Amino acid sequence: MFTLLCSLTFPDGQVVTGKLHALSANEDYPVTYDGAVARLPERVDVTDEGGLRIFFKTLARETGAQYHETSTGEYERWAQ
Amino acid sequence: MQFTRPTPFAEAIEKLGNRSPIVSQLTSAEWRDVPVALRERAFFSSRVESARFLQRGRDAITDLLTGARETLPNGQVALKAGSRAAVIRRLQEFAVAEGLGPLLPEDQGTIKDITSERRLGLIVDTQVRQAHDFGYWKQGMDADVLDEFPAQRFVRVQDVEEARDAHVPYEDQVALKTDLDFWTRINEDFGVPWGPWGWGCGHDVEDVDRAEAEELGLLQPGQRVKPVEQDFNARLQASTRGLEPDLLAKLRAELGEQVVIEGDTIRWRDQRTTLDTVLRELGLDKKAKASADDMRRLREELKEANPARAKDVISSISGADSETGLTADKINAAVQEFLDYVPPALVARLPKISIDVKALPDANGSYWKGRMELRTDLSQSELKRVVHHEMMHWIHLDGSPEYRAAIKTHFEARTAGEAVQQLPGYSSDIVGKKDDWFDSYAGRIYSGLGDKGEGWEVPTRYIEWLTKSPDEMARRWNDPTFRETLKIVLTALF
Repeated sequence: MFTLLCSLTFPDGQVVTGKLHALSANEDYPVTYDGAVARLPERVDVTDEGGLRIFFKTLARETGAQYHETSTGEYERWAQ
Repeated sequence: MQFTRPTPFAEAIEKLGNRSPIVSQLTSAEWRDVPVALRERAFFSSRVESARFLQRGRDAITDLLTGARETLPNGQVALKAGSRAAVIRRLQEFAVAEGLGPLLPEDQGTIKDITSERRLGLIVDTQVRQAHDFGYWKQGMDADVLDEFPAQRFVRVQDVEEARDAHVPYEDQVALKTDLDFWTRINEDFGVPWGPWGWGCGHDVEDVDRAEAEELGLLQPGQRVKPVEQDFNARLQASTRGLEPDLLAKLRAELGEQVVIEGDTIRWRDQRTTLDTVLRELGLDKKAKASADDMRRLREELKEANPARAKDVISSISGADSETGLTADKINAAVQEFLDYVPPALVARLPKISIDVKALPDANGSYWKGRMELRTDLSQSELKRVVHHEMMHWIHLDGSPEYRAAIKTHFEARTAGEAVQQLPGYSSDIVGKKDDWFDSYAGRIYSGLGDKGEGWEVPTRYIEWLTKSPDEMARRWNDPTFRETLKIVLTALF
């Protein structure tokens, strides 16, 4: 199982994270949020690895927050 | 060696697809003053000033040539019954919606009325025949074909209401195919050495073999005939040079920005539909933040008017299983969804695909040289994305070298100086350049394969964007880094 954790650190120190567990690199999975969720102007409920990354990076650009990501594990299948 | 009459579709489609839609108030007679080289590269109809209509017309007829054909029992390839009527009906509806129509009420329903079946039928028939006949001519210029059938006979194949006197002396005459003067003299209306031989003309040509041509004294026994395609192209080029200032002034006034005049030379401005023109038309070229509605419109605009059919692209499906839910019908539908975006002319140049549905240890699907594999237990939504992914390999790896080069150049520019590493989320044998791709898999490298195996997963991962919800499409589109790569990937669809 592949896990991607994206986080934003706002200038005031507050942090919000979004986490996605995925078996397949091509499919959408639910995103779970934690931390200062109220700071997010919108939320993406389901997406894939790339979608979550772009969502958080866009928020970082728009809010001045700092973007960080970590990932663990492996996908079980992918299109090749 | 015996030759049958060759099928001219690739040439015919290319010919029509390269024509620029040209709007003008010129009448048929006035169009004859326009140099042949320009007429040959234009899609026009007298006194039609709607670029959208001409664009739609050209695309519909190109699609008609590409997608709606069938092989008759005698081996000839022909347009499917009903296809012509459907295209005319579609153009009729579009012309009416665009507010096109005759200037005078009494012209309604006549040849002067662009919404009339008669006029549209003439446009479709002439364009289809020009494209076909050019294809036959071009293939007839092949050195081996020319050696076997060096001449052709001008014959009447259809009675017409008003037979033109000028063609009577040529009936049943035989001349070498390479006699450009002879054949262009017959074709007063279009000025080319292939048919149709005039508006509403009922003549055609039939091949004459070497024995008969020699008997008629058109060439000596064993004499080789040199193809004249280059000679004719040189004539076309010459027709655009050394033009009288009066004619240039008239063409400038009538055709405006559509032509480029440099000295005494004239040419069409390049107006082919590109991704950029589509984005400009939708206002997306300058919009800071696209909406989901913008993406819906863009996705619709990217679709073909008459796409290739999945059943004509898939050569076989094996292993489809109703128990797991991955049926042939579902696979066909997923392939069709992708084909809806692909120009039929491109599809015509690509190999057919055989599809195997099977248990795959760690893959959802794969593609290599006309063979696609799909995992047995793909869900409906996964099937769509995986088929888009694998069919993009089909376009990228088996399509144009220019597209492959563009992807490779982009990949190299983005990843210059980066080390190859194991890609996060994948097994140790999956390596590449992680870069700032939205998804690291786009950076995968297949060592030891063509193009050094670089950039092969860029088109595939980015094209999956088309399968996303409009909201998700917009989020990705609004990311400048994603959009930069996506725009390069999408050029494959033009």
